Amino acid sequence: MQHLSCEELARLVDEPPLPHEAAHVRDCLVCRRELDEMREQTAALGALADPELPPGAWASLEAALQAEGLISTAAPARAWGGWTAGRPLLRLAASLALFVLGGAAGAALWSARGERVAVTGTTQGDPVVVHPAGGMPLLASNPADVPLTPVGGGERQEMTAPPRTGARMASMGSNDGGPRPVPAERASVLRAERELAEAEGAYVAALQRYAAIADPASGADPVTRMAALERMIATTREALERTPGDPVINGYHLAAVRERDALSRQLAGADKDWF
Amino acid sequence: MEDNELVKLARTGDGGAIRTLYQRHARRVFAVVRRMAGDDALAEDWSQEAWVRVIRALPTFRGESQFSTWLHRIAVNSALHGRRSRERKAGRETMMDDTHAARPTGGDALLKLKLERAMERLPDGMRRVLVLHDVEGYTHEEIGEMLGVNPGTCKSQLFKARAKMRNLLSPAPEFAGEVQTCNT
Repeated sequence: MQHLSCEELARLVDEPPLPHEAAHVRDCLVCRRELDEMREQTAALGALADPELPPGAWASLEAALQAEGLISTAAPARAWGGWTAGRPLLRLAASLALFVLGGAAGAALWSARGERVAVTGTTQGDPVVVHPAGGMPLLASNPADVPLTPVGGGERQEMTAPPRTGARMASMGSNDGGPRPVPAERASVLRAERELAEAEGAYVAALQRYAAIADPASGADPVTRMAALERMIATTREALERTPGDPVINGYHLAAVRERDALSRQLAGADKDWF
Repeated sequence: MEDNELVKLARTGDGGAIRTLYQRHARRVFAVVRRMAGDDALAEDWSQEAWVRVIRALPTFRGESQFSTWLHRIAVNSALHGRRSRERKAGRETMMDDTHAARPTGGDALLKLKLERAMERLPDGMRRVLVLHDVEGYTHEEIGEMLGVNPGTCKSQLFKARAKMRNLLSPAPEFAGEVQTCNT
């Protein structure tokens, strides 16, 4: 008699058997016992206790949070509102757009890459300091003003900048009145900036369009809303492939998926009513 | 105090609220990361990284899902990301040297230890799916979404993982010569 394979038995732990499998398990003591033990193994895995936290885990995290200025009882609460208040999907689109624009900037400026640099001070309102390899740091008052291109993926704050000729960059500690533009390279930078602006505009417009359609308050029919949600989910999924641990994208992805699931249930319910 | 209220305070940097959230959820986060990492030191790093990401992103959390769901997903994805970034260890898939393998019929500490050890010896792909499905209770659809594979692939990996676990935990079955092996 040919017994069921281990993988077939593993499948039978939580799926119904095919007719021939059911007949075999009924008649074969060895396979029945093996299946019982596989079920017990699965149940034991589900009942495993959580391991203890390593000692000093909180202290280590607290230090990391303090180093980033994320933990402080004096920090003011941040308020949300404005045009997106009460419209989670529009907030989703706006925030996601901000996140992805960094990638769009990199793509649009890819052709202008040059020296390898390190970037610091990228929080909003901070000046961006660019450290070219072997050169003096450069400064721009607005991060968006620095034409940079990411080098590689992930969260490394290492980027490649075009040659130090952009009029928006000022040489720190230099008394020569700033960088001297070189016409050909300047034209290249301007062209890249135009491409970036176009890419940004198109991306934001698309996201906002999807979000506006997907919003229950939009008045769009459910099928159209579903299509818009699917597009948003696909967009966030693509972003997650590049930055799977990003909390913002994960949060918005979950929100869009939940909205889609709710809409699916609603549509399924409507289907049932028709019959 | 509910999680959502703590989250509001934590957004302002309130140390007490952050600590309370941490105390409430840290063990679960560490557990899933630890099992996916298969290594204490890595798990500690990835777990901390997940928490820093979460606290950093609190202003963007609008309560549209449970805080614990959001947190857990970030922890899982941090572990997946960390795993992909890390150089693969050679020789992970080694058989247990313990010849006194327990049968999973009881709830004793030794059995749990053996289960944990056996999971650590699974190949990465199998371990991820087994941990997410059988230990953490995610559905195949959710796992497929996280891993970027279709649910059918996820199921296939799960069945192989269960079979492999069975081999790692049990003496050779009486009918070993008759069944297909599942050592893939």
